[in-house]
Amino acid sequence: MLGQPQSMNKIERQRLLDWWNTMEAARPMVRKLMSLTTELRLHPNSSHADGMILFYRAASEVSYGYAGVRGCIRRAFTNEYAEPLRLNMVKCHSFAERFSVDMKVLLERVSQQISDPEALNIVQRLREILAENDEWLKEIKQRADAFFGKETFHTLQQKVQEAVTLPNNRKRTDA
Amino acid sequence: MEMSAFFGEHFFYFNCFHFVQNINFALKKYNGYGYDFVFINERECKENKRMTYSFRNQTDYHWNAYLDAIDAVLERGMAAKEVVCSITTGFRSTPSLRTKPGLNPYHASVADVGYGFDAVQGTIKRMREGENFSLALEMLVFDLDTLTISEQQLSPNFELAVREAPLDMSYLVNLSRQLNRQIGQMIREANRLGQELLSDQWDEIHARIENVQAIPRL
Repeated sequence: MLGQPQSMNKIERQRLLDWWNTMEAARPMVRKLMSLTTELRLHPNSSHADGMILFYRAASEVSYGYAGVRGCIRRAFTNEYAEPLRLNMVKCHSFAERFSVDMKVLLERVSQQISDPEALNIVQRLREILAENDEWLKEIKQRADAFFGKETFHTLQQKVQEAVTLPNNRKRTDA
Repeated sequence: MEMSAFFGEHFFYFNCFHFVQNINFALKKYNGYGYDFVFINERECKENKRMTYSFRNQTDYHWNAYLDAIDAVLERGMAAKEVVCSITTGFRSTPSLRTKPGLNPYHASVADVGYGFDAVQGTIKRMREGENFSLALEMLVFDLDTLTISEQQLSPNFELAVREAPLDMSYLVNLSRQLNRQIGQMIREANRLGQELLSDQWDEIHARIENVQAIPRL
């Protein structure tokens, strides 16, 4: 399942390292985002707000996505680097992107039921850090683009998408 | 200090016996734990150096030293956690595994663990920066203790998911198993430190956060 090992040239390695360094730089933001999420989950005024359970699920998947990309990069520097791992890298990044959207949507739903100033302050900080997260995701995507080559990244993303979409080839049985 | 020279001196490397034959880098062993893998960069080296595992005598540095230690323990488990996340995503693309019973709850627990590591480290950083937030201790106990719950859910669901894994997956299956064990060690150690730091307060805070812990995590 590891696929045919691919070797990276010097430029590719440098680009992968650039990608990694951007992930490193984003890490304090990710940790703070999760810490603030815990604070909102625990706060008596927000812990039972509609959307909180799903907000947490989305947060944990964002954390998972970031960690997955990092794990993929670590593995890419070994003999594991091959087509399946490239798809994996794209998939993990997409996870972080998609669930960041969920977090933003759900946070606004959660905030509707909050009245306590302290809890509202946590919500506001989460809004700000989610905006920061969007910026990081954009920058990380650029690093990924540079590593794969833009066309390839797009192709990989389509493959990932197709693998989790109902295929459009249903046969007519009523004829 | 042993450093990987694999890819520039500022880079670190994930060192696992499976890879040793292919890569030329230093293997670092922690005797107390017997790891066969660790990720090293300069920052991690510094943290490992200043880290002490047990603080029998309370000193002025008591509090910060414990927070440092908890942070460093989680830092050591971080590479394992990241590789496990990456492999789990791969299972989702493996035809023979991607719809197996157990995979979904396994993925969820892996994500819970990932979240817990990030949240605890984020909370410790906020405390160190002097941020004044009233729930800090509750947050620490809540996330540390929830990590132990998630960790215990990893293995049963994982074994269910990979029960019929084909032979060509055995490398990644074994690696996941091994990394999950290491993640468990780190989580237990971080909890031990947290309990030592808070002593009687731990139980009192724990009893209160259980109300939130009882909320479904899906």
